Amino acid sequence: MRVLFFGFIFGWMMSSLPTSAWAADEPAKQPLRVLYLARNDEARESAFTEFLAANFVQSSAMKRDQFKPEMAAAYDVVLLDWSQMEIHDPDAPWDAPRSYPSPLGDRAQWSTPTVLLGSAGQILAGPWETIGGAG
Amino acid sequence: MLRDHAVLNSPIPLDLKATQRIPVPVAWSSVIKDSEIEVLPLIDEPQPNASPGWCTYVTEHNQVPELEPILGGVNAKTPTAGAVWRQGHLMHFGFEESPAQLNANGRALLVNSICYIAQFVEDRPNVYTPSVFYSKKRIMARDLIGRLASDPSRDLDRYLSAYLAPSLYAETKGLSHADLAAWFAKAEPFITIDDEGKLIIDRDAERLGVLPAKVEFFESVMSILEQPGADHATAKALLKRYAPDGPAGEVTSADEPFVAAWRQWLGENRDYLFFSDSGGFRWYIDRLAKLKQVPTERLRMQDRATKSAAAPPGEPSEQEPVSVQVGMMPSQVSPGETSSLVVQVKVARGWHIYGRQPHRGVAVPTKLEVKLPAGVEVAGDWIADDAVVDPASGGASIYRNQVVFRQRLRASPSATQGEHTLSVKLIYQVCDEAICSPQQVQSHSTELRVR
Repeated sequence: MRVLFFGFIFGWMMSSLPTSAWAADEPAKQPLRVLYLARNDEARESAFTEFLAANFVQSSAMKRDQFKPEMAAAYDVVLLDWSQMEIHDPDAPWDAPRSYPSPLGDRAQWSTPTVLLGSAGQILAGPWETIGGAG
Repeated sequence: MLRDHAVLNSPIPLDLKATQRIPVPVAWSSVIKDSEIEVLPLIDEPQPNASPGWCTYVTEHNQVPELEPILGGVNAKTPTAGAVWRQGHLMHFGFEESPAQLNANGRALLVNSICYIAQFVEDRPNVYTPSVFYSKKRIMARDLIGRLASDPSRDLDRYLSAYLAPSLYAETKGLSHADLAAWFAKAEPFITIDDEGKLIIDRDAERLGVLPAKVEFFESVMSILEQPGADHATAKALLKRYAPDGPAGEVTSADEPFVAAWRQWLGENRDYLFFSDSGGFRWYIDRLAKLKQVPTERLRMQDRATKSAAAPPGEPSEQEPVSVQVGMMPSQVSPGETSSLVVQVKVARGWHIYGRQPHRGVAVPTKLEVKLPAGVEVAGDWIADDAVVDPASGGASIYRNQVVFRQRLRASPSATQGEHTLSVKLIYQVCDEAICSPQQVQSHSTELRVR
């Protein structure tokens, strides 16, 4: 049930909303400490690292599998990057149940506001039984 | 039309005039009859062989108070699927593109999404719903049957055979769309799931005439329990089935204390209860609503944010009274040279942590644990300002405002060139005049570069 996204927001214009000069008028860095948990993709990790450093006053990055949940205490927001290809088992039947742990630890213990990038929400919905497992 | 939402305008306003018209995605053609739709591109050029993102069927979870659908996206499923949406303190950003691939609007949307979720420090996912990819189990809301019945283009058998238990499927197999709609109108209040997550009719609820998904359910069942000779065992079983977070007590418990315990529980939680089909056809307590003492029906969407602005980095706040920053001074050394590991601990006004020396009583002394990488070794003890003896804390030594801990380290003569990561764990208890936290642990890391 993977879905093809082309990177558009669906919707119609609301003309009364303000317009942007973001590209030309660089805003101040946002006062948040953010941590990016990277998938195994160096180019993607670099892109996120550079982007977060440019937009937030404090940012860090580490590989997802090096992360321990207690590290989140130092951050305001954690970004979890997790690709479906990283849990794909080419030898298993397509409809076989999958079993893998959450890189964020136990759901009940996780308290840091989190952004689930790309398919991360769908994958995390497995061990955590959160919304996002169907689409 | 795009809704007015913080992720579109704060802190970085998106250029909402930069829309384009594109052909309606093939998968949406049964829902949208126009040939084109207007969209706001988040990338400048579609990438050939781009990896797919993820859209989520959020509408089947519309009973869940912590769910906030925000934006959809072009996808190969349905126009109602969510691309950017929130459950508790989890923000789903389903677009796959990296910041390097996004355009200015896409990058602004990502910044805004990060800033938006940072405000949800207390909200949490309440419901538990299995993932079909993980457990082969998917719980459909009962509305599925109504939606199928109202759409003549739907192949009923395909869906009913997949989501209904065999016994219920046999009851509905072969019905026309109109007949299924009539059947659903009668059966709908009593639909629930079996252990496999398949839809069934709750014959117990049907027989007793109680409506499990209505809040009146609780009073109805308890009035049965107060009727001599009524089916008390089934009534109790229904309470346990639909409100598993209710008070303890077995079905075999005596009636009077059983009912008393449930009445008390209902009195404490009535305003915070919500029913969720997709969460297992059961009642939940809206944790945040109860915490804030606001009825759950009045606590939706952006009203669930509990932090209006981010605290400046490195500064403690009332929510997080202790902030820690870790660094090396100097940050670069040659093999054989020393550097100081510096741990700066700031404590919010009105709060304190305890000194490093154990004290009689329950105070947790502050402790530092350091994990050194190969090539870095200890060259001295921890040094810090003296803690102050506090009579109000039973004579324990405490730190207020700020304390800086330093420990001398040395790059060994054989240390390799490059970055060496040091992990630091601060263990402490933070108190104000009225309350103390349990033991807290903050983990940090810093780098020492060997030239």
